[in-house]
Amino acid sequence: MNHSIEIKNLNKFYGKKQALYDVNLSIHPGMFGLLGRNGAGKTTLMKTLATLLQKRDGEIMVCGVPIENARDIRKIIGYLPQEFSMYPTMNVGEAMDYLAILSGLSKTERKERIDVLLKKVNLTEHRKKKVKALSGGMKRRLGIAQALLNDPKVLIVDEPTAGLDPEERVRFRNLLSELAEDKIVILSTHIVGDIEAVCEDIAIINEGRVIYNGTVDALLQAAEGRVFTMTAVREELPRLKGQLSITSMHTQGNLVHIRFIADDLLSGAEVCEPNIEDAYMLYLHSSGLRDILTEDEMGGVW
Amino acid sequence: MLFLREIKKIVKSIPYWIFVAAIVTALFSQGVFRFHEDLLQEPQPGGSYGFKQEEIPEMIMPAALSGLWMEFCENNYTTYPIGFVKHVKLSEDDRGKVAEILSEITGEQKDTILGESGSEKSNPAVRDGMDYSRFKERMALVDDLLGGGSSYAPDSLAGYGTVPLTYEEAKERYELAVSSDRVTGGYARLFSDYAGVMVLSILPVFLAVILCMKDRRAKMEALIYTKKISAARMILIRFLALVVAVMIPVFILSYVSNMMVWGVSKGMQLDYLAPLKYDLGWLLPSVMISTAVGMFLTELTGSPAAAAVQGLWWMFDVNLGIKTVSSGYSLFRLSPRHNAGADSWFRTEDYLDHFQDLLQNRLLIAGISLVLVLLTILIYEAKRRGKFGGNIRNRKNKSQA
Repeated sequence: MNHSIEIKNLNKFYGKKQALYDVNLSIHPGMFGLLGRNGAGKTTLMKTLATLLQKRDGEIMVCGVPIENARDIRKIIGYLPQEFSMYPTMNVGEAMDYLAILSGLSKTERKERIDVLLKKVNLTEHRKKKVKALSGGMKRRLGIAQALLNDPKVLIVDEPTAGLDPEERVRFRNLLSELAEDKIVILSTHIVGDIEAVCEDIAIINEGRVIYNGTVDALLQAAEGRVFTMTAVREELPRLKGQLSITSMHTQGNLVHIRFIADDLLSGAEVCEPNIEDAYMLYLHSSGLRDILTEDEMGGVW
Repeated sequence: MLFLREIKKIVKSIPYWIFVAAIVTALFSQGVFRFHEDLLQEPQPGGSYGFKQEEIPEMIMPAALSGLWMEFCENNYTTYPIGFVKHVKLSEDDRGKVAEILSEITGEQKDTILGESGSEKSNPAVRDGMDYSRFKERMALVDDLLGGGSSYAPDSLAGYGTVPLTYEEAKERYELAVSSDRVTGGYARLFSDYAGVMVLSILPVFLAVILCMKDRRAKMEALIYTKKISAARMILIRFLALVVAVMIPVFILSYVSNMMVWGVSKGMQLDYLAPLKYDLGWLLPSVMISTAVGMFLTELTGSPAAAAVQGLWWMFDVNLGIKTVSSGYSLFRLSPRHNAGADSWFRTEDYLDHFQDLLQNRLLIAGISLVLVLLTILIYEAKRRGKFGGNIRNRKNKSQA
């Protein structure tokens, strides 16, 4: 069986409003990161892949199965939505068992699979705990466990680290990396750090359009020579903000160290090694977004 | 396995136990757990045996005329067009038409009738030689003028022909109750009459609405939608689980009620399966329709609108029953009625006469339920694929996309 996802000329509308424009992607086994701002179209794309939304036109093949064949697609995918929960009065084991029944697993398979998965996500000790008593991180791990019940070829995970504390976030990313050894794992996020840590291939999506599709290395290469640092007095900051696309800044007394992207070297500035966040900003900048520093999630500190 | 999980989910919920409490309370208030205080007794000569309705023209015509005359004089007619009581006041024109009818029935001049009506003259008599079928036609016309639902409608005129039962008739009724109902059948029927109209035609809709909305409230829809299970299997199992969960207390209570008379009906051949037969034949279709309406409208609208719709249907049906509380088996009745206890020997003959109507009604209601379940499956699958309904939610959340 073909083990890739091929998306060709995908368009999606909500009523008259277009949410995805001619999306073309080829996704192969391993971790694939879908990066974009809130409202960029990531969730729409993920839901379309999970058969929860209908496309207007274009073609999607998941491991050789056309997306229109929803019944067969559901057998080979696992999906963890951005916002989810489970029946609050059920305990972890009951919730997993219920969803395993819906996944078509026999009694023996259920017992075996649930044990393995709870162990994998470190929830074995919490098997009897009510879902409503789980922390955010534990709930996400339970979410991943349920998405793996049918041993899917494709795991679709939408914004899994949003709202998690740093420790849980790292643990979660590592878990996804492990899973990606023999699966296609599509991870959507607006947090650049998630992508940097675990993905080799990524797509950047903005306002429904794919503005970058390739490897993280290629993304970084494209940003080389276009990321600069500069130190200025604090009073100059308002003027610099108006002139430059600042990706991060750090204040020290009356001085402010800024990091920015530009086409040419400015006087007083030095070229620096770009990181993935800079490269991401560069692509967004190329797409016409200037006031990126106003986005909370983008403003880093160095 | 999924069936047991769904049953467990329902039975462990608070609304289910509220439902159980409601059915116990409602049935207790109607005395179904005190049937042993109202035992079937053989009529003895020389007693009073109650009344029956009979189409005796000599009795019906003067009584109906008397009623019509009184209402005509006051120009205030009581009708039940859709079950609810309605007081009708006729226009001068229509009042003239009623006066014409009264003129034909009594032989008096129309003008005289109109002139005397204000003084509320004592009842006029039916003229000699008045043909009964013509009388019924004229009364049907009055009913039309009143907008229907009056006591002059062809199917209501018999109500003016109430005569006492004779000993022989009472004895015959008793013997039929013993032979056909085998005693327990009559009690099971009375239980079904109360349980159907008071509880099972309305309350299951709430359980269905709550269960169907549970996935959304628990933010579990997307997890379930992307699982392998087919929409048909999911909906059918949930429907079955709801119906079985509702029927469990019904089976128990119907037997508790019926067993009250087992020990005290010595020497009679009882039908111990009677409660089960009535539960399945009479009450199950009511439970099915109430549940199906709940599931269908909840999936269709994503709201608890089904409770209001079923509530309205139930209210109309109950009020429709005001005229037919003793027995009513019409095709579209949500809850058939046969309110006859041991004191009237269960009116078994009346029940047997209408059995075909009851059968048609129950089959139709069960059939509609299954059609609604089928439609629910289609809606569920369409929502699951984002073709219907689900997009409402997606549109709201598209800012998250």
